[in-house]
Amino acid sequence: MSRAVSVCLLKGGIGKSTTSINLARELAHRGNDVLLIDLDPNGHTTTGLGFGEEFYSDAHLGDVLLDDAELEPTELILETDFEIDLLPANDRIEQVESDLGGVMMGSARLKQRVVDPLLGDEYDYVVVDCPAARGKLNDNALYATQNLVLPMRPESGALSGLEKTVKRLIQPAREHFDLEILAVVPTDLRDRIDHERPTRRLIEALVSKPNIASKIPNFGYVDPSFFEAIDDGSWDDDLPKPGIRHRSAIDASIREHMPLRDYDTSCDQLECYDELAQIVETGEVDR
Amino acid sequence: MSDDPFGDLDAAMGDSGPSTPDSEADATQEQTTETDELPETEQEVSERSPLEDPAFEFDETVHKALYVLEAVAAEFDDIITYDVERELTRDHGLKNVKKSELHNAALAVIAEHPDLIVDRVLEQRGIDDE
Repeated sequence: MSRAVSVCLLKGGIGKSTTSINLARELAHRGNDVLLIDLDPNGHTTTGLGFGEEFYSDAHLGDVLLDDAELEPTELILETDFEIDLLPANDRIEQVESDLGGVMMGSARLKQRVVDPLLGDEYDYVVVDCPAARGKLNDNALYATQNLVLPMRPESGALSGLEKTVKRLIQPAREHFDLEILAVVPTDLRDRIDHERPTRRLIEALVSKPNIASKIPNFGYVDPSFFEAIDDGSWDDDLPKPGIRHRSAIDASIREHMPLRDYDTSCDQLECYDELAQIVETGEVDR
Repeated sequence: MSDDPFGDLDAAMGDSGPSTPDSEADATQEQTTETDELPETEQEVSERSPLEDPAFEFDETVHKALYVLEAVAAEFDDIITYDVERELTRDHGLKNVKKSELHNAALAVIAEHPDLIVDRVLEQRGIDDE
């Protein structure tokens, strides 16, 4: 089984790159051949894996996607030390975005020229790290992968970012093709869940909407009745700690330009990324 | 948004006849992004070298007074100078990094996390809502 997936949300700074890198890494650790594609003009995934220099290289994705294409995607792909291959972002990728707006079937180029030729042949899984802004790069990612993982940090604007993503990206896309949401991933959580804080507000909001709740991995899910029990004082068990929790090892792994597994194999949050990898493998949350 | 970003896919799906390239209107409408970055003119983008030149000119910035405790100001300056600037120059090969770029990025990051500011103000007052 092979599958492509976009890690996407129309909001910056919510952990798309960290999620992309560690999802790709765990898929590889589970024995799959994995390609990670960085479409984000800020290049956090590319620089975050130690390819700061390549971010400024002359050859880039535009040479594959645009009409005067001179390159095969395999000529751009880099091998990492972490069992995954990377198609890097580039500081000129924003220009590629505007150029794609003016070519025929500009939204289909990534699918036609990169994902379809490589997926199932060279790679079992393709993970795409998307830009935070709406545009042709995001459109290409959605059409090429037709599967989404939506990371959510507990901060003001997270839920409106989700709403914006649904209205501006997902709904328009579904007019044209089947776009599957594989997982909504609460990430970088640090508060206790029994206090009126961003963590509770996020988790409670997500699990109280049945369509979203079914997409939340087990590591992020809390039964809605828990919140009633907490509020009326009848909860007498340990507090759940949903979501990918904030860990200094995750921050440090980014600083050290490597996935979490390669920085600290003992970090307890690896099992969350492993479940996320399983969800991508099977195509759904297994509650 | 009234435009259909995926309008160009019909041809790819094979459910319409020969397609024409996107209209110019569509191409220009696609340029609206929701990033918080400062708008740049096209001329600046084409002439600027990201490694060599600051992200924006000094005369585009405003001078804004901030009142902070000395220890916090000192720590901020240390972080900006020793950690951030060093990483930019050492790991990312940037040259000519300006204070205004660092300050702008720092405030932009803070602006994305109002909840953390709320927490810290409460903490400063000794109010423990944990």
